[in-house]
Amino acid sequence: MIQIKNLTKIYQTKKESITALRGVNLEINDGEIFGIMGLSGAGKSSLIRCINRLEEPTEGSIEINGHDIMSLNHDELREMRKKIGMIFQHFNLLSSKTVYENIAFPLNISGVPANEIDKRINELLGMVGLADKKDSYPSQLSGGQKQRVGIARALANRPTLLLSDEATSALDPQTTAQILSLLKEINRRLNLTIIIITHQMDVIREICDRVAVLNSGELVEVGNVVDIFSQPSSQITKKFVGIEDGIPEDIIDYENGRVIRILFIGRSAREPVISRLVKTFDVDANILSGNIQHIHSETIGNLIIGLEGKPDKIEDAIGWLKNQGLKIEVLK
Amino acid sequence: MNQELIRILNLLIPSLWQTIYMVLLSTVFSLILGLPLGVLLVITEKGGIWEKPAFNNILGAVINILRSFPFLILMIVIFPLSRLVVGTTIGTTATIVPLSIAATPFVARVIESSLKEVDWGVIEASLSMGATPFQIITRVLIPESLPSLILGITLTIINIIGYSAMAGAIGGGGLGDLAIRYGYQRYDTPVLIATVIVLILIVQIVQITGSYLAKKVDRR
Repeated sequence: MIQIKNLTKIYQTKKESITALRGVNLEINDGEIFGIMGLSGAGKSSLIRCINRLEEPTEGSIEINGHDIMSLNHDELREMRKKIGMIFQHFNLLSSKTVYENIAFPLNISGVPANEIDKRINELLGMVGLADKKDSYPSQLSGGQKQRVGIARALANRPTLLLSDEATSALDPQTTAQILSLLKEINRRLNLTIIIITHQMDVIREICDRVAVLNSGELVEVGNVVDIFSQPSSQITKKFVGIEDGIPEDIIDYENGRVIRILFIGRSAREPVISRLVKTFDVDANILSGNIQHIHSETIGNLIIGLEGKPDKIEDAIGWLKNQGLKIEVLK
Repeated sequence: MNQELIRILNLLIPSLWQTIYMVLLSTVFSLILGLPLGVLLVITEKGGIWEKPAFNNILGAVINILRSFPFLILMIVIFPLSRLVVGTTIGTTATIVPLSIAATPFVARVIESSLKEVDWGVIEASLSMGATPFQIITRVLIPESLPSLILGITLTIINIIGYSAMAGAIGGGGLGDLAIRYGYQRYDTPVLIATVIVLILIVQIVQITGSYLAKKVDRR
């Protein structure tokens, strides 16, 4: 378990001080894939780098399995880092070394014996599917292959925690999906805690169990991915998940009746709610916009409809919808 | 004609050896001294892996001061050091001392600029794996910038060949000295031309070899 308390990071330059993180509190459970989402400049990079102290926090505390990492001296810090893997957006492989030598690098600096190194690298190469590339240099690999090497390298010292810094942001969608499924597999197989920072919604939706949203250095919300996606509470999260507050611009001039937003989660997304509504209340339903997303095994539907008909019938219809266990928001 | 050729060769060959001797040893010594200084310039910089900004500023200033000395003056200023190190202030061996000292700050800057080409991301990744500063220097900074380092060393050798032409001022001999004494002072044009041709060949060979090696180790 990782406990982050009141984490604050201020960058001091001669001219000004920039606050990257303001009093962030977070708990990350063992074995989960935890996403940290935010726009660029939100403080994601600073946050993830505070966890292995590549950045020194200005204030606050971080405990990993009950150990306060702020109290570690240089040597202890290096030992701790060996148990925390990290992967990067631009892979950061050594261009002068082969795939094999790149994966050997963390093992060499940890003083692992040579025969053990060889055994472990072959294991790792098999796990990331690059057994045939072990003598290639990074420049001969594709982006996806480079990230696989990065993952193998990060796992070499058998860490208990993996930090992923925008690891798929430089990859195309198909390669991203492959890397994500590899991370998910590793998470399950090794029971490895993974912390992912990203600005890509799809990454969060695909593999994260829980997500925290950062905005201008502040934590705006934390929760299960399904909850956050279906009922985002902050402005920034709504923007992220594509649910806009108020009436979408293209519907604003809809003048024929009331406009409501219906949110379906799980089973209710499969009920023929709209057709029942139309039959029962003798109103016309006009679908103005909508989408259905699948997150893990949950289905989340988001529909904006215009209701036309007699005003009292429309009120009854809205009342009925609210009783169906759906989240209804009257927009107009 | 044949006699003339033999005369020129008799002058040229000892001078050539003197030049090679001076340049080779000066290169080795200036690398031994300059490499650690170049590394220090990079790692002690603000944001470096062994941040020591005050030390960095002083080191930078000292290197700049050494580089601003005209070589001819430096050769004389350094007499006491030459006497201490090789026991004499004149001759070919004694010339190696000022040549090495003159090339050291140059080497330090060349190494510095090569090491700075290494992407910070790679250094950060090494830090995240728990590498010590020393491990980062020997296993990341130097191997990753090797092509550029080789080109920098090539540049240094050619620079030292240029400086060695002034060695005659303290009796160091060498090709430059030969060209001045015979070609210039005695109007011996054939010797002058021969010397220049040999110098051109040496520089070409050094540069071509350096470029080839740099390319060969480049995996980027």
